[in-house]
Amino acid sequence: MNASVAQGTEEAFGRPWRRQSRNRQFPRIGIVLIAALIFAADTELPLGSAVAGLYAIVLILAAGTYLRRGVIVTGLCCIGLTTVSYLASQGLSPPGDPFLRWAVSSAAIGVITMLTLRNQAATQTQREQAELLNLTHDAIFVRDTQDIVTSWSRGAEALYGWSAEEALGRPVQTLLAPERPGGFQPVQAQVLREGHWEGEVLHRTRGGQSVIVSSRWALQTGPRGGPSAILETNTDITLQQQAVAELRRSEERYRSIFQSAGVAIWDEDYSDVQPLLEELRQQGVTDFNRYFAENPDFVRRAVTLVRVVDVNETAVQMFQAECKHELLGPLEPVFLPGTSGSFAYLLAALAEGKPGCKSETVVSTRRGEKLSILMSVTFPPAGESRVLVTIMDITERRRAEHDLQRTRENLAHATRVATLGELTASIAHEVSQPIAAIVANGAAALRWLRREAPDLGEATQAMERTIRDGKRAGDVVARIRAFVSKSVPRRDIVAPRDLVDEAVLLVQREFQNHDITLTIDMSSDLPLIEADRLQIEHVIVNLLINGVQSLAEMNTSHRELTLKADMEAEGDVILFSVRDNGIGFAEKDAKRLFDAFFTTKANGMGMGLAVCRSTVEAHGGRIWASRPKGGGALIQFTLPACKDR
Amino acid sequence: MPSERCLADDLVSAAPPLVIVLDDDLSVRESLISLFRSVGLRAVAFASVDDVAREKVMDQASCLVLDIRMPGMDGLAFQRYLLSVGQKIPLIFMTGFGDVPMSVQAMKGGAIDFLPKPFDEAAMLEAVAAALELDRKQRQAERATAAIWLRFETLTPREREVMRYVTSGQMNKQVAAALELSEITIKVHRGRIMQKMAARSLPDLVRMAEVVAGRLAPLADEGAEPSYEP
Repeated sequence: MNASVAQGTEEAFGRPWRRQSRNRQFPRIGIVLIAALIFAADTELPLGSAVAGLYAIVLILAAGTYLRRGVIVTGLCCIGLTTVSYLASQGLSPPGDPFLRWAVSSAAIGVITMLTLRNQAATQTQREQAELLNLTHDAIFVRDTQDIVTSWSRGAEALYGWSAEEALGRPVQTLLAPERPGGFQPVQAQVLREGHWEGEVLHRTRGGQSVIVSSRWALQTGPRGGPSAILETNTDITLQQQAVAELRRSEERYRSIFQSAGVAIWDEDYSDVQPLLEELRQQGVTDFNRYFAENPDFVRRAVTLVRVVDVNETAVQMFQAECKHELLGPLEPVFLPGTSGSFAYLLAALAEGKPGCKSETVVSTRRGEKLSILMSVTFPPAGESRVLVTIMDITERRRAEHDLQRTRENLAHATRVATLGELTASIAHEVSQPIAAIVANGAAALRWLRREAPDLGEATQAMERTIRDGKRAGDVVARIRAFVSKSVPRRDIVAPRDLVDEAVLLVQREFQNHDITLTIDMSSDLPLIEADRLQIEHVIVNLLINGVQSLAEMNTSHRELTLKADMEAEGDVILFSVRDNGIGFAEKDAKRLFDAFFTTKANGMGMGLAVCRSTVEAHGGRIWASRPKGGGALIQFTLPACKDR
Repeated sequence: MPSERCLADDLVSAAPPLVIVLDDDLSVRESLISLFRSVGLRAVAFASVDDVAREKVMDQASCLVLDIRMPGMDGLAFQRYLLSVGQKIPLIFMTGFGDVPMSVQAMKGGAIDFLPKPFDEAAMLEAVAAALELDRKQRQAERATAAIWLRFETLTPREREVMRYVTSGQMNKQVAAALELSEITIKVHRGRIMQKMAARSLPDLVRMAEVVAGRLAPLADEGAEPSYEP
């Protein structure tokens, strides 16, 4: 241990905190023995009172062993022993030289006792201070002018992993490998010049880990006024630093997300709107949606009060602005009059304390183009008024959805036309039948009239039949036109039986032509369904035609087609089954039957069942095929029943 | 409006020719009946082959106007059935959808015409007229045949025998030899045959013999060369 350096620090910080001797007490028996020896010598030897001065040794030893009262007792004992020795050697003789020596000795012992007590008190204070230092988490160490560590606190042990024994006497460089941007030259210079320095330093622990410390350096001056040592107090700020860095990164990330996100983000300030909402709340308004619907003026006023604080790049592009400043400020110009509904919805959600809301609406860009947007709003926690609105441009998606829908309709339409193509013979027959009758009736009527004696009764009847058959032909044409019409998809509430009857009407002739017995087995109390009438009829027509074609290829007189519909066991689902005893399909084809372009027919397009599937699924049902035991094919599909009826 | 039943009842008075309409469509049936009646024909209509069979009116009908596609037995099948039972009633087919193979088959089966619906009423009436004409001829031929048969019935067995030999082209002498009769006797028989059968000439008698061929006794030495030996 380098005592000279420790000396310097003691003056500033009290006793060094790592003294090996500190807790070693001199044995009490030794103190008593020494006192006894001194007493014996004082009493027996003729040297007189000079020996009594040696009691100082006892007191010094006692100071290290006893507390304050013990030291006082020891001092009194020493004086007592000196007195006994004096009395024993001199008796009660009149005062002379020995008495004078006794008096001086006693006084000296008293003074030493006093000094010892003072010293003891000071030591105690220092010890307490040192304990305090050890309690701090700061790493405190002292290094001399050669950067050799001369003192090492427990905090330093804890932070750096080096124990005091390991650290003492070694250069700081090898222990901590300190680093800081700009090096330590200017720091040293500042410390020498001003006596202190503060800054951040990167240290390495014994395990090689980096720690960032907030370092405070204080210069110690030696007895001659020159620099003797530097006291470093280092606070570990690694975590704090990391937290700050994390925060900064988070902030940067947020900025980067904000700026580069593919969705437009609007940072809006609602601080002027919130008092209005608060006012409403105090007026007792609870159903805000209704209130806003009834008070459009309020909504209009609120729009003018919202201010756009910031927008990102995507927002600038989406709204076709030259720069973001065009969009900052009042929100009003962005909203179309027609979108106040969605703004009212947003306001209501805000007023009702919801965490956010979503809505779709149409807004206007700076250049006046209409945008379909999906608006997702995040409301701030109570007390704050900044609202983040993310806006996705779903114009393209809407258009794509629209296109897809139209493609689907076109496909369904094309397959309906194709289906009719397969029914050409039936249709021709159905149309030509009444027309043939019309022609014959017309001709007959003319002939009845042109007779020598015109038969008005016969002619009238023929004309009446002409009209009736004309209407009938018109009905057939209307039915076919409806079937191939490109109507917009719609939802009708229909009775399953009506759908089946109308579908059967279109295919009926096919049954007759191929000698097929159609059995319709439907219970009368089936619930209504919500469906696109035309599309579902097409599904049924398709399945019936498939059945007919399959049966037509059979060389049998027993051709049966069954159409059943009943409720599924689960309840609100109607199960339609179309079964034939025709040629059926191969087991391996069961899965592919509903694939587009899959066909087993020579002239088939392979779209019929594919369209059936997309139609049924669009109605929330399923369709599947199976091979019944008796041969043929069984196609089944489900449709959900109307819930509210 | 006269019901189909009433029209069927009219048949009893068997004056003008009867047309049968066979179509599963009521409008077509009604209109055709009216059309045919307007031109003075009798007409009766049925919805299916079964109905016709039940009413047993086929023998009285002169013409059948029928749809090629019908529930149950269709037009072509009915045509085949009629041919198979020797019923020669003229057929006029109608169809709602011009089907070439079907029409070919129908025409091969001896149909008068094949009219795609909707048809021109004039074409229909023409076809019916043609059918009635054919029927008239057929009936005439039948009537002629019936007369031959009636006359044939008046011949004695010997006369029938002689007729057989004479119409096969043998000379009186040969006939006499074959029947072991005198030539004079054969001549007498021959004269009586010609008279009873109202034949104007030998070729006339030969034609009649063809009608009644089944009932003529076979030649004693059928297949052998005619013998000129005494």
